[in-house]
Amino acid sequence: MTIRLIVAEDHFAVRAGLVAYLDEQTDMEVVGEAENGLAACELVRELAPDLVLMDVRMPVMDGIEATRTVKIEHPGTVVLLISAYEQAELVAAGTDAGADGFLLKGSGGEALVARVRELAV
Amino acid sequence: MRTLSRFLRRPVAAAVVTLGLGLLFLGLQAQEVSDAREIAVVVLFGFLVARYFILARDERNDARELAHTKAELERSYGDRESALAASRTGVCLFADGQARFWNPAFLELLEIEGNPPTDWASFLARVQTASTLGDEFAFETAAGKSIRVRLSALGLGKMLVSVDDVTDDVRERATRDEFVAQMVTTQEYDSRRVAELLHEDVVQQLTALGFGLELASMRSGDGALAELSASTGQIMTSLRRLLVDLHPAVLESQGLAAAVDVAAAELRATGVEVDVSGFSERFGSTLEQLAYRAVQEAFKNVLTHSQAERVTVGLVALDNVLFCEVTDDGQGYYAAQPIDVTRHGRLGVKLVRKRIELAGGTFSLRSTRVNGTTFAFTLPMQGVSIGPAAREAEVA
Repeated sequence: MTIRLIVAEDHFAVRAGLVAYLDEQTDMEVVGEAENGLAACELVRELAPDLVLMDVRMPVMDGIEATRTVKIEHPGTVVLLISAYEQAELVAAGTDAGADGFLLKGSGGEALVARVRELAV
Repeated sequence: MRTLSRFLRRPVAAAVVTLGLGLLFLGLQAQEVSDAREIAVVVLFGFLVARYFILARDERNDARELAHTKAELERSYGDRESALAASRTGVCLFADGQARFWNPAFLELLEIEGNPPTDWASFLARVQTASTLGDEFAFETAAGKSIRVRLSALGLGKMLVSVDDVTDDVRERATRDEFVAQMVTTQEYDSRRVAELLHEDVVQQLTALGFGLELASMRSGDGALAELSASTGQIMTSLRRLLVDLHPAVLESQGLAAAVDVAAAELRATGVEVDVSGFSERFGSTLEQLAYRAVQEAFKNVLTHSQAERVTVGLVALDNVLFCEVTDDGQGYYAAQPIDVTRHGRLGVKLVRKRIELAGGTFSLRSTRVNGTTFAFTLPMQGVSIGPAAREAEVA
């Protein structure tokens, strides 16, 4: 089974790196990319992915608000929040919004794919 | 002559001599030695006359001394009355809850026309402020003056109240506080800006680089690339620590004690046991930021110099003052007796001390080879009143 993903990240280089790394996995496919939370919500409506990899800090609509919208409209879609900040309040806000997991950006590729597989099952 | 005068003032001695001379007179009379008797009579008479004059003189001297003392007392009392009448400090004495004495300044400063509040309850009602009434407090009058009130319990149901116009002091303090607040806000803004730039640019670039290296390593199987990827992860970890150091978001969201606990993470990571005893109250952002930066500097010193195994941080808020003490059990800065190392130039510590003193606080750093280092400071808390309850019971 292939895990269908959307990557929502405003920083182009990071988004490109994430997409390239995830696409390299045989059991994963990045079906869409978004540069802000609002675009991510629209892609979720359109593509109904299994999992959204969502950056917390993004313009237009941040990752927390986008997570809340996604979980209301598509409760079955898994949302994994990623952030460079290791803050308890961010985790709490994400959990409150319905996020399924939280990962630090510096955790590395292996940790990322392991977490994606764990949540998407 | 003086010896005789002293002798004659003594009634017992005088009585014994008088009796002796009397007996001598009787004895001489029996032996009919008329010359001796006459001499004795003359001596006795002379003695009585001398004693009379000396006692009379003493009485006059005592009366003069008494009058002088009385005049001195009256002059002193008059001076005191004049001083109190002219004093800019208002004074009122309450005894058993009733106003017993007051001076004009008391009425003037409290903007009272006529007599002062006759009892303690009326006085409290006049000066009661939103803050808890303590031994010393300030309030603003209807005319906009800042009045400081000091209460001194004298015991036996007596309370001395003194009031001063501190309008100029309050304005000066407000100007200084505003300057400190602006200074702290500017510095924190700069730190936050740097943190954001690091996050928005450097951290993102490193994240992308890390994924790129990891992907390249995965595709090529090159171990060197995998090591480089791991290095970027380590750089990210250091950078995240720097971001927290620059802009401790937890300070804004959870307050001083929580932020200090988070700041201790770096020490704990090196095996140092850090015990933070604090409180959950929130204070003004300026005070929290000043205190946090000071504790952060203390931690840096512990990390750099102390080789300590245990660090304790005590945070106490009492009587509108924040007390903080960071103590370690490591090796001190100097092997000599306790010494004020702030005199020996450590830039970080110096800057912390300057900032704290500018904010009206106090700072000390004591270090010994045997007992480790104690980094302590106080900061005044504006707009917060944690003080003793009113002394109403004392005078009720």
